[in-house]
Amino acid sequence: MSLVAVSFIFLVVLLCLLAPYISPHDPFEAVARRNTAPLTGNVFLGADVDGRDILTRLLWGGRISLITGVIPTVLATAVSLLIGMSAGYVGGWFDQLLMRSLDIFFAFPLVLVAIVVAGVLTPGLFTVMIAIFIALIPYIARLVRTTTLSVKTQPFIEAARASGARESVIIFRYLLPNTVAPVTVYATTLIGMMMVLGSALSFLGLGVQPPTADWGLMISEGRTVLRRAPHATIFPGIMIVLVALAFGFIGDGLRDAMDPRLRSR
Amino acid sequence: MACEPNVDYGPILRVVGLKTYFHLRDGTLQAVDDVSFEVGTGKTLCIVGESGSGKSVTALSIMGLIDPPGRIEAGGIYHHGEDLLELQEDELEGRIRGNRIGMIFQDPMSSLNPSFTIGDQVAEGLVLHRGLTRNQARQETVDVLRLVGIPDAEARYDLYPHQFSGGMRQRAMIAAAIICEPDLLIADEPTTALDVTIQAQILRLLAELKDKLNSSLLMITHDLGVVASMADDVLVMNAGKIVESGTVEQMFDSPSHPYTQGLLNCVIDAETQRDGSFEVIPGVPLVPINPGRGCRFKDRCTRRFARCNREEPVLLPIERGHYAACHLCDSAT
Amino acid sequence: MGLYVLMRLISVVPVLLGVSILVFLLMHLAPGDVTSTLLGPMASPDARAAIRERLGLDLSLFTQYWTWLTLVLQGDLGVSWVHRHEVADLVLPKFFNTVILASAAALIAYLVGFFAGFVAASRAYSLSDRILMGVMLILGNTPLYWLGLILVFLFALTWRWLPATGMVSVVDGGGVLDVLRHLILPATASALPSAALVARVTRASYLEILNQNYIRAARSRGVPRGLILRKHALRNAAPAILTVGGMELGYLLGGVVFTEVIFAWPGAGNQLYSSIVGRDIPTVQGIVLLIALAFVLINLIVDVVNAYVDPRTRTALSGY
Repeated sequence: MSLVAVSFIFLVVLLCLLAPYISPHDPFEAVARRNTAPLTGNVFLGADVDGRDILTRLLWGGRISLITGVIPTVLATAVSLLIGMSAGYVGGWFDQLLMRSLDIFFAFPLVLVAIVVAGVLTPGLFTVMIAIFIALIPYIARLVRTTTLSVKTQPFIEAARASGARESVIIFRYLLPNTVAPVTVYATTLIGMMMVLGSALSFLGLGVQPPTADWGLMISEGRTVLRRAPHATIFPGIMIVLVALAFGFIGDGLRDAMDPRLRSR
Repeated sequence: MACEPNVDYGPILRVVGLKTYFHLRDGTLQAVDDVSFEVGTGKTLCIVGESGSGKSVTALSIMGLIDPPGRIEAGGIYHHGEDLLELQEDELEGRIRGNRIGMIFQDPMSSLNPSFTIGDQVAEGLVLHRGLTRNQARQETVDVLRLVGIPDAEARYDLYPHQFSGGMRQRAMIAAAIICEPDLLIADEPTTALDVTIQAQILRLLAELKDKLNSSLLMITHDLGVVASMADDVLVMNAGKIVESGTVEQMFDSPSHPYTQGLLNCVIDAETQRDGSFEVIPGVPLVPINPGRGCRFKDRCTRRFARCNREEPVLLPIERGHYAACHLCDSAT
Repeated sequence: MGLYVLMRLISVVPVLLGVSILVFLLMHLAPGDVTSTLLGPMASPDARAAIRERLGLDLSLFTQYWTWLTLVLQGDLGVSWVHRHEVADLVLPKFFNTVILASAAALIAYLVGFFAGFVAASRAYSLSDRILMGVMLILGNTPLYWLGLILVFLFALTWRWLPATGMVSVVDGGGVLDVLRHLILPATASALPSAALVARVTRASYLEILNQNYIRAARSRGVPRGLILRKHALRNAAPAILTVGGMELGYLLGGVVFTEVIFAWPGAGNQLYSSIVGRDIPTVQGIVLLIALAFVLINLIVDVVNAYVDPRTRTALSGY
């Protein structure tokens, strides 16, 4: 299943990268009558409220969606590794201080943090990424810290220390690889969820602004003509679900590959 | 009365040609392969073998507790002449399990549900099989807790497993297994997880209870010391097959199968040789996934010969009541 | 047990203090000059100075925080910049509407999720298990707002069974039945993605528990399979299910922003959205504070219930 998911994501990435060359129309130009139904004339998946080709806009919009899913998650993972590992490794009051401050973020639902952060900043792609980035850090950092703590007490770390390995060697050769693995699995599953969140922010008008092609924004524009042109809402939603599902499957696959004990769960 | 109608001097349990296989991705694990034996009324039968020899699966098969991917492929399990394999799941639940046959598991730490009180779990048999309410069952349960040697049973009835020590938990497990006075008690390595000092107490308790309740005991163990002190009859298993069976005297006086001899040598050497040079059975136990032709012990046997590779030995009588599955014991060779 | 509750209550205090600092800082994190938001870009410097003084923006940050916090603790959340109302008066009735929506959604999510997970676990690896969990997996990856629109399209626009919007006030008007009619769609839309997670967790924890030795021991005593599922395994699986349930209730409180906007539900989420768009910072602060309070409270209750369900913590802590 995860192999299918990887191929699907690969295909989507490829098509979105090639959007300027393969898309049948210009994403910003009206090419058909407003709200044209799918499979009519020159628009395979129909046209939106402004007569723009939905297939073209799906291809272009995929770029934004993938970016909002991947980039903030990767950056948040990097920063969380730094925070979580130093907290878990140094321990003591430093650990307490960092983790208690993160606790404060856990008092807000993740979605709320993203909405409020995006809301106070000027809307745009950058804002979406910042909002997701900030909202994610507490969650990943907490996982990194717990993993670090459990790896730190493993016998092989003590063995390395007993045989005189320097701290830097212990951190980079032993601690880091063993912490990165489970965090990567978690981050992969987060990518899909964050893509959904990013599109949701754009849907609310707090993210990417028109006329940019973005799946969340397309749903928001389709909403105004939901009765007459449901396809304008349905297609981008299906794309979001499929890509989010695929990232979930890849995460599951990675987890199984890294920890055979979890297999068949 | 001249004769008591309920007295039946035949075996209480007769297992015939039992095959329990596990269908795994890598092939079929023949965990129990064509195993037949009897537990005589009032007797103690010990099944001996290393881990993976199929002895626990045999016990679980008798209880009807084999879950997929495991499956009982063939055979009969006759309890008082009634084939348990013919019974529906609800009949097994309602009449047999916990009522006529009680089972004690290896690890008392994980075999009690941490979320229910000891009393709740011990009394369960009375509630399910006698239709008592919890309150009605309480006094009888407390009596049984006392019987298995739990001091201050009235107060401990309402405690949770985590408030019990390992030995006390095993006593509670035994209480739960005997509460309906079953005529057959199955104990799967009941002392393995316990401290040495506690082990002897638990064994003594099991022997006493067996006599008190007039029941029979099927005990699974890898400890030959336990066998020597408890067993009337012994069954030695290796890789899903019975390799030797007989009375405890026959087994200790004239072990016939090289595997049994090896097991006994390990013990004798450990007791006599102080220099640490014990004799061990070489190699690791065969895992019977799609086993090839020939004897399943041949790769570890020091005395194998050509026929062992070709042909699988069958259980043949050596003397009255003493059987072994080895070509060396086959007088025709 | 009592001590545990007390300790847990105390641990909430620093968190709430931190929450109040973050919420207070919202006012200062927003880019641009506050006075421009209030008076427009053409305002005279004198007017700006006057309003800065009135809001206390000239004072030190700490003094401002202290003043704000003392007022908040007395229930005074300030005055809305847009509506010229007390924020508390504006927000509290809407928050009540949100609580109604979120509770209905939570109820649906738990019922659907638990039942689906229970059925899937009791027929694990069968076809019905695979289909059920497949549907749940898709629902779990579906954006809330899109699901809401699809429900509107199907039930309100195409089949015309249920109203999509039109809920003005829960308290006055059409009575309970009318509220229920308006509640079904938004509550279902909010609930389904959460139900998916509850189902997955229920199934996973059930399967884990069913593999435990004590379950086999219970079966050896003749406990029927149905009773194992309903009683023995349930009590052990409960903590994991409850914890996720609590987390999901928090997620619902965040997610209602979308459902409230789509279904025009007169709740705090809808108000938060329009206040964010209108840069009405005091109202945003008030709503965020309320949601955070509710979230912290839910987590507290879940922890206490879990501690009570698990006899290990219950008995260990009663001894003190």
